[in-house]
Amino acid sequence: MNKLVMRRKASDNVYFHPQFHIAMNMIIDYIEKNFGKKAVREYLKQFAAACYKPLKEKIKKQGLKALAGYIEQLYRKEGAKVKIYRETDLLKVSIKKCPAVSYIRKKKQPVSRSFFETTKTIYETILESTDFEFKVDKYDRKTGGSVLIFRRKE
Amino acid sequence: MISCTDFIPAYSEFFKFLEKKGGKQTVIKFWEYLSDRYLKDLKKLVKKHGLKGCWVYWAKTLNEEAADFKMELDEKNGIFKITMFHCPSKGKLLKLKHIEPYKDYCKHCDVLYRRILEPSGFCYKIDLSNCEKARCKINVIKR
Repeated sequence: MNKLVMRRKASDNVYFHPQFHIAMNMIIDYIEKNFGKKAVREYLKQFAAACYKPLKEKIKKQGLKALAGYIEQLYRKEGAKVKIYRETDLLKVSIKKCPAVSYIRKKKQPVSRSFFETTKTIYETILESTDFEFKVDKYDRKTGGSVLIFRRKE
Repeated sequence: MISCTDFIPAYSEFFKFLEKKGGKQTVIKFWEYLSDRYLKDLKKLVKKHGLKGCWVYWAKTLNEEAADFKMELDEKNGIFKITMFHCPSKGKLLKLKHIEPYKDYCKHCDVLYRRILEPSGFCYKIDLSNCEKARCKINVIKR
């Protein structure tokens, strides 16, 4: 029975803990079961308004270029492939498989019914009070694959 | 999709959301719920390996979370220790200037792990006196 010691500095590792997708899924499921679907959207709005405030400000200044950069980086970190098509006032993002949904399924967990809101409500909230609007063009509940469209409001 | 790297602010905001809905007890009830479901791996590991299960569990999570820590396992004397020099979770919240962390954020680590480890035959001690600097200490002692 030897003594074991492990010393690590933050710089020794890359911050990436996909198990948090499971925890996020549990949170969504918990809200839906205890407070209802409307509360899921209420929570996600509160979170997005707080967390993505700097992104919203960037979008107000730089337009969809800022959002495209954010999305590209987000999926790259998660090791997922996305296709991004951008014009000045249009951004179309095609996601073949959602890395969060893939991870949750890989761990044999049921994906919460409102998990879709982590895309829909989050982007709607980010774009609130900007010149842009958002719609989910396609969404596959099984894979989380989707086509997201962001455009300037008419 | 919310990136797993954005989970910590989502977690902190969720505690605020719950407290607004039903007070502190509602937050604690959720921590207990999460402990029962999310920490099944830790429960299995300590059941299988005893105190070393703590080592196996935290060696994975703390490395994935890129924590600044020291972990010590002394099986002979029945002690497992974590000295957290910089918690990636609280540290991230303190770094994000546009986010106000939930006031009792660090207490989730008390409720979640105690609930698994104490019924498994261990004494769980957590020192959160420096948690505003993203530092804490955990001792798990075999009874």
